[in-house]
Formats: sequence, C-alpha cells, structure tokens
Amino acid sequence: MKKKLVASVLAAAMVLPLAACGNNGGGDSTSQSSQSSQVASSTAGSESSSGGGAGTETTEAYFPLKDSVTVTIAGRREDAETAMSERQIFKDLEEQTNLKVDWIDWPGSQFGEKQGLAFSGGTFPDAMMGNFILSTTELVKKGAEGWLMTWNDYINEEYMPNFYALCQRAPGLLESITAADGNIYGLPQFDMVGLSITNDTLVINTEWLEKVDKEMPTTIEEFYDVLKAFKEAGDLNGNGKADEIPFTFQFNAGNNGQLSFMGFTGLAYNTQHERVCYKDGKVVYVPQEEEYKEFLIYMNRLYSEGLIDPECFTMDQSTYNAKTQTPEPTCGVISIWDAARINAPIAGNDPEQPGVYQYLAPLDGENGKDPVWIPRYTPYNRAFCFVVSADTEYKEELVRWADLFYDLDTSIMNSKGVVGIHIEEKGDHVYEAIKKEDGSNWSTAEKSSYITLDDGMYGIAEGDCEMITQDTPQSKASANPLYEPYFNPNHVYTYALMSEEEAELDSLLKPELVKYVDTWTTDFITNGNIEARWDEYVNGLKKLRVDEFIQLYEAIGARSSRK
Amino acid sequence: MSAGTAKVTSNRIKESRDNLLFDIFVYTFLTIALIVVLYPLYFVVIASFSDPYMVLRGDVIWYPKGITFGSYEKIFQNADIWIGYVNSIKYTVVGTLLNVVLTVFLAYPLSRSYFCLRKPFTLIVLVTMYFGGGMIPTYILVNKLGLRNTMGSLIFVGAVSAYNVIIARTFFQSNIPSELEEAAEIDGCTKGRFFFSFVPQLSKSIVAVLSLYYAVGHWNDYMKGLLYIDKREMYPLQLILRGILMEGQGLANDFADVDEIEAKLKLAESLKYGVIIVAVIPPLLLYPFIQRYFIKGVMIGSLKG
Repeated sequence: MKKKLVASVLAAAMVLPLAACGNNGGGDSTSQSSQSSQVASSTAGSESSSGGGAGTETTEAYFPLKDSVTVTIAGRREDAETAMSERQIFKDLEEQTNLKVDWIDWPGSQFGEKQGLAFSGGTFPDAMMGNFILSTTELVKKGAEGWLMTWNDYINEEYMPNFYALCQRAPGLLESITAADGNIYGLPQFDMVGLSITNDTLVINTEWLEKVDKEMPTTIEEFYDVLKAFKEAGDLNGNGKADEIPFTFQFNAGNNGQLSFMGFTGLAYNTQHERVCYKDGKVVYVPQEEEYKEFLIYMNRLYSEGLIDPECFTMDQSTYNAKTQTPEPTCGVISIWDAARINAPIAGNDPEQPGVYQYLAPLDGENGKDPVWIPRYTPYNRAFCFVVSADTEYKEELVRWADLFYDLDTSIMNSKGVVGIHIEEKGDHVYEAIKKEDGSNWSTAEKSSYITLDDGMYGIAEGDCEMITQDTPQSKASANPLYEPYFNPNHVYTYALMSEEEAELDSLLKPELVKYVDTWTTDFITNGNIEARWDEYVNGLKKLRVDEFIQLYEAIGARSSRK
Repeated sequence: MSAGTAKVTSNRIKESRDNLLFDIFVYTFLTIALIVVLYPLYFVVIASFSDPYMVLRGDVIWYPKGITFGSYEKIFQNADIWIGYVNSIKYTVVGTLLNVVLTVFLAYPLSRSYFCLRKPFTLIVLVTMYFGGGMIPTYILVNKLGLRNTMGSLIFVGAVSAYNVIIARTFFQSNIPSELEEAAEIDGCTKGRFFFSFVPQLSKSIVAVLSLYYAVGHWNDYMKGLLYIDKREMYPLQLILRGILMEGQGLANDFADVDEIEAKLKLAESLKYGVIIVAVIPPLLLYPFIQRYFIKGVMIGSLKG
C-alpha cells in the first residue's frame, strides 16, 4: 500500500513538471524571439548613431575585417545569466566586425577552477573577459610573470579612440589601472553615474521609538538608552513572543555590518580598505588603535546587557535577510543597505510613506573626535574586466574589438540597458529605467540575454549621462544627506596597484592578521575584560608583523591618485 | 527479519527478561537511528514546499508552512536544468554501458586461473587504485587528445574503476567455476562462445551492481564536467545545480548591486530544496529495480575475496 502511494506520487511528480515545462518553455521562446529582433534593431541604431562621433573612423576602416578571424575568449558570467555565446550584443558584433568569437563559458560557480586550469593546464585562451576577471593582485602577478599582453602601446588615438577619449574625460583613470612596474595589463569597467554613495546605513524602528517615548538618538549614550529601553519594554511587536532584538548587524559585512558604525570613534574602514585608514596623514591599522579599543568597550557593554543580536557573528546573508525582512518587526536598529527592503514586508510597498524604519544619522561619540562614515567606491570602480594573452596572434584585432565597447552609447547600453527595452531616453543622454509589462524591474539575468552588463567593458565618466531615479523617503538616495557630511576624504584609504613583491607580501601578512583580529574582536565583544588584555592583543599583532603591513600600505597609498 | 524471529521464538519458549530488555533497547536504538536518518530527507521534502524565508527563520520543523509550489515552478521554467537533465541522462546511459562492458571484459580474464598473464595484469590494475596521474596531468592529457568539450572526456576518463574490476573478478571466480567451463568445452563450446553465451546468464547480479555503481557515479559526477566541459549546452546536471545553489554567494563584494544579490539569494534559497528532490528522482527510480540484485551481488563480490 505504502509503496504504491510513493510510486504514484513520484509518477505524478515526473509528469506534471514535464507538462508545465512544455507550456512555459513554449511561451518563453516566442516572447524572447520577438524581443530579440527589437534588440537587433536598437543595437544597430546605437552603433550607427555613434558612427558620427570622433575617432570612430579609423575603427570603421578597420572593421569589418576582410578575412574572418576566429578568436577564443573565456567569458565569466553569473550562473543565472545567459552564456556569452548566446547574447544578442555579441551576435551583432560578430556580424559588424567579421571577428568570430569562440566563447569558453565560465559560470561563476566554476570560475575559480576553470581559470586555474587555463593557467596551469596550458589552455590559456586568446583573451579573458568578465567581472573581476583577475583581482588586482592576480593581475600584477600574472602580468609580471609574462602571461598578459601590455596595453601601453595601444592606448592612443589610433588603436583605441574610444578608450583614449574616456581617459581624457576621466582624469586619474589611466594612473589607477597602471601597475607599479608602469605596465597596463587589463582594461577596466568604469561607470561613475548613478552610484550609491554609501555601503551600510543604520535604520531605526520609529514605532518602537514612540512606544518607549524616546527621541532619535544622536550620541552613543542616547543610542544606548534607546536600546536599553527597547530591551526593557518587552513585547514591543505584540506577538506574544520574546523575539525582539534591540540592535542587529552582520559582523564584518560590507553592506550590513558594524564597520561604518565604528565611525563614532573617529576611525573606521569598510571591506575594501583592508582595515587601514589615514589618521593625521599617516596610514594606521585600525584594529590596533585606541579608537578600536573604545569601540570594543562600547560594543561589549551593549553585548553584555543583551542589546546586540547574539547571532551577529554567525549569520550568513540569507539568514540576515530573513531575519530583518519580516512582516512584523523584530529588530530595533538594523545595519542595512536601505530602508525600503525592510519596510516593504511590514507596510506593503508604498515608497512614498516614510515607513516604520527610518534612517539614523551617524552618532556622536562624545569623545572630542569628529565621527566618520565610510563612503562607497573609493576612489574608482577598478574592476578589471578584459585581459589578452601575451601569446595571441590577434593582438591588434582584439585591441580594436575591445575598444568598441568604450564607445559612449555602447557603454550606456551595456551598463544601463538597451534604449527602448530597459531604459528610455528622456533627453540628451538622460535616461530612465523602464519596468517590465508586469510592473517589475528587469533583473540582470533577463537583461543578460541582450547585453554584457558587468561581464563586459564599459566606460562612463562623471557627467557623460544622467539616470533619472524616483527618490522616495525610503530609498538609499534619501540617506545621502544624513551620511555625506561625515565622509572624510582625508581619512579613507585609497589604493594604487601593487607591485609583484608587494602583492606577495600582502598575501603573506593579510590573511593571518584578519584571522587574528576577528578572533580577538569576537572574544572582546562577547567576553569583555578588554583593558586587561589589550596589550597582549597588540603584542600579538606586532608578532604578525603589523608594522610591515602598515609600511606596505603606506607605500601603496603614496602612489595613488590621492593628492 | 529479526521481528519475525523474535515472534517465532516467543511462541515456543517463554522469553527471558534479559531478552525482552535487549529487544526494547534494540528497537529504541534503531528507531532513533531511523529518525536521525529519515528526518533530513523529510525536511528536504517539506522545505521544498514551504516559503523559503520561513525555512531560513527556522519556522519550518515538522510540517510545511506557507505552502508554495513556487520553487518547482521556477525549476521547471529553468531551461538550464532541463539541458542538464537531458545531458546527464545521456552521459549516464552511454557511460554506464561502456563502463560495464569494459569492466566485465577486463575482470573475466583476470578471474580465469589458466590465463597466464593474470598476475601481472592484476598488479597493473591494482596500482591504479593507489596511484593516479593527478588532476593537472590528466587535464593536459585530455586536452592533447582533443577530448575537451566532447562527451568522450566524461565517459573515457575513468571508464574502468579498479575497485569494480576486483569486485567483478571475485564474483566470476566464485560463481563461474572452471569445471563449468570444462564441461562446456567437452560439448564443443569455445572459450569465446562460453563468455558470450554462459557468462551473461550467470552474472546478472554483478552486472546490476556494476551498473548501479557506475550509473550513480555518472549521475553525481561533478568534477569531470567542471574540468573538461566549458560549453553551456553540454553541462551535466550537477554543474547546473551547483550553479543555482551558489547563485549570489560569491557576489558579496562592494561593487555588486545589492538588490540583485538579495534577489539571487532568495531565489537560491527557494530553489535549494526543490532542486535536490528533482535531482534524486532518477536514481530513486532506479533503486527498486536493482535492489534485489544489489544486496546479493555485493555480498558475493566482496566477501569471498
């Protein structure tokens, strides 16, 4: 009896999906084919409109190639995105240039292994393309080892008119992609329009604030009082369960973490800063500074009184999202990307309303120091995206092909979307995103059947175009006026590319320091006794050669475009 | 089985207290073990029908909550999964066929005592159990042979497993005695005829065991696909499943679009359990048919080495 039931359930499970798949598959493919013809015309449109621009003439004379050439390019993409070989943009490009690309597919989940094999197994393709195709450290290493073609001789008006023009529009870009040995090993993605200026923001539950009869806190003492009041008020969300958490964050997470919150001490960093920053014009390693101790003592005080989420050290992002985005609020203060995502499940998605959770301005440490908040993107988005093999026969073809992507209209298409499908032109280079027919936004996976998105090169300098966004009290842009005054350019660390030796030393020192600091930080916050153990902790840092690490970053920072 | 025996004995002789206590202990222990093994499977099933965020918050424990078929809908809409499904079935069927044929061809001669090179060949097979070329050299070899991005790389690499050869050899040794072969020879049967007409009849159970081992191996194979295949239309199912589960995980850098990451994480969470169910259905369907051979075949193959 039981066996039969299982068998019939399995049989049903097998049949149903097949039927469903048949239907959906059919529907999808028809709608897709009708849209892809649209893309073809709009791509062609943008290509021809750019034809009149300066510098394109040499390229036009070069492409289409008289004799078709086939190059092998490995393309990194996210798993949900369309494979490079099936994207409309590359089909169009192939027609226009007569340069055929034999794509090697590297989905994100396989990327590390496949790229490793390409280097060690002797199957290095003519070029590699994709978001962070080589980290800056790998780039200088592989470059110095002679794997990669150098671009120095090609970045000029003759070979790369579009990229050259971009470098004129974006001063500092060229320096920031030049390695310490003076070579340029890869091409970047560069887009300075429509960026968010912060990573993490603090939001506070105003409903609870009213219930406990407190004002928006402005100093850390008031903040402590508010958390304490949240804790003592008990069942604030009225669900009968003791599930209220006064303050939650995801330890060390760039967008949900405690990193900018630390700024009340006067020092802070975010994930891209390797825990260093400038203090009085000198590079310091934040975790060994007095400010860090002050932060730890404060956090320990919150922790020991049960004001911090005890899960903050262990949650992954999915758990954190699930915890913070609940229909009935369970958290008092949350460190999060923006307020809209946590208000939506509570009050429905009405972005015009301020919502239950509102942005909380950086707190004053009352220690005589100016509080800081960490800005996003410092100083550039230096995501290297395209490298060419030193051994390829088709250097010139690849250089000129790559340059096509830096044409402004092509860049806007690849970064923001296809005009007429994903975005709408509202004026001269002023765009607004279009929603899908059902009112939802286009996801990157959907857009990727047309264009490269972050898997390809683009170059948009400040002022090249404008994106119209509807700012609401909940959207991230509304938080900007609160946080922007606390950005301190003299404080935030800025990079240049490392040399091979520097990269080597960095990879030797950094992981040990990170592990050590994280272990101690967790221990300090949960167990306290900080004053007594601080010297022991700092001595440990010295043994892990923290001074050398500081010197290293001092040297790197000195070469950066920060003047 | 043991329940039956217990009943029979209790009818005949009065059970002693000790035996009863022992039985209680055994049954309690086994029940706990059963729950420990079964619960995760049960959880996967109920989680696949529940609201992913409720699963993440730990609300789903005994029964599905916020019942939704969203994850199955998404799975069946995902073209990649079906490509992977078809590919994996193809690789499994062809690969298993080749594996079994080659293994039997190798194991049979090694089981015959009159085969003069038996010892050196057995040694050669054994050596491969302990020493391999390593990943990179194998990769270079496959590349030089021109097998990358072909089905060949998935079915020829590791086509014969030394472990299975030894199981099969032991089986042949003990189940196909040389007396039988001699008797057939007296009736005028050649060695070749014997191999093709008698051996298959007598070795159904070992073939079933080998097929299951190899088929499950092919179905679950992730590494070979990862190393040798880089065309989307050729990915086996496991690569695609891992891709779905990893979605949004490696993206937590400071430059990525946060809304996208969250959407992807949510998708991965919602697909996770459904995908596991979908992926285990084919092996599950295979087991009931092979199971009866399975137990017999493995016992014969391994114990009398």
